[in-house]
Amino acid sequence: MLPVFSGPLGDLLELVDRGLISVEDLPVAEVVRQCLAYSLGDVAQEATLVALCCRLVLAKARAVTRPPARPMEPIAVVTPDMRRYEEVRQGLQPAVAALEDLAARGWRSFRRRHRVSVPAGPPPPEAVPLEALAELARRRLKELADEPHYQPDAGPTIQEMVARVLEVLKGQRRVAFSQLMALCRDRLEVILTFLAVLELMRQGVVDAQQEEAFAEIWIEAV
Amino acid sequence: MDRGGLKAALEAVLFVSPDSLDTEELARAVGCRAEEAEGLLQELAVELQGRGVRLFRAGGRWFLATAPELGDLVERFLGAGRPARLSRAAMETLALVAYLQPVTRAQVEAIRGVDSWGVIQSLMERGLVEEVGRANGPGRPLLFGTTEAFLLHFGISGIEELPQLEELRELYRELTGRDE
Repeated sequence: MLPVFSGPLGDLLELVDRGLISVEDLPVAEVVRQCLAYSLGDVAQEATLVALCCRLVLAKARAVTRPPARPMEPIAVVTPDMRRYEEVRQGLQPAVAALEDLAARGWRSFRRRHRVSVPAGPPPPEAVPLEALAELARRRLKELADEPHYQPDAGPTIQEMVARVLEVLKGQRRVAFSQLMALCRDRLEVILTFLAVLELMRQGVVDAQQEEAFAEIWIEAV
Repeated sequence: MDRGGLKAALEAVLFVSPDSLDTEELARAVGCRAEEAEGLLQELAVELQGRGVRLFRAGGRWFLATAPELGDLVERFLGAGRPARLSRAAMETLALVAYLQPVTRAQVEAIRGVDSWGVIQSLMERGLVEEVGRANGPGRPLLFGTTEAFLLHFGISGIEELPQLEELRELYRELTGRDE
């Protein structure tokens, strides 16, 4: 009945299923029409024939509605280095698992939270022990003992200033305090002269008079 | 000062120091040679096992921190929240840096097969990874390594405490021709 096949419908379906005949090339509608026109005189046999026709139609429908084949995936260029990188990556998985195990353990450590002030720069020189200081002092004193005796600059004394005031007063009844100050060579003599006048007043040797505020102070022999 | 005194002095300096210190700095602080300090620090690390404070070493620098197994207790005391869980990509990148450090970004990406810059940056923001120098190759790319925070995060006192994966390191050595 067909240019490529002649025989029972069941055999045709078998060839189609095996891919030996392309269902897309078959005039399925014509085949079905011929089959259905052929009366077998037995309901069961005719039902089987209808079922075979349905299978043939289904095969044809599937063939013509099949999506076009996807273009072939590009073949990845795998160089030896890439393979080795992949090997390293595979080898890395136990490392990942190890870290995950550590993380799952839930152990964590903490450092001190507050900061302490640490001076920048080199550390200060070490402290000199007391014994060392004492030894240095002893040594220096021994050196001084061998040197000429140390004579501090002897400054004036209150007694000397008392003598000076009395010397100025000699032969006169009174003397101006500013006159006594004018005789002083430095601040120490000024202080000592003032103290000498106070001492003489305390002893009742002299007295001090001032006619008005900020006027001259007169030191008078009593 | 005898060895015991020096060891105690090293512990005291480590206790008050706000930053980690290398062996040279510690030796200078206590007045001994660096080799002697190295040995004493190793002994101190062993002696501190089982104590509440442990001696850690990251990148040749020493510091004291709490015992990892007391993490929960200290965390509660400080009111600190638990750190966010690391993603799979972050964990993979971190493992790569931890085991093969120092590594460049290009090496990380070649091994992982994907762009990993975002993950590296995220790990740096979390303080687990840092720049540790530059490679000598063309362009002198940055090298990355793990930080002290990485040790604290995983509760290990040194990178050598990670499970040994010599096969991984061997594969990497063959790949890069790098001698560790």
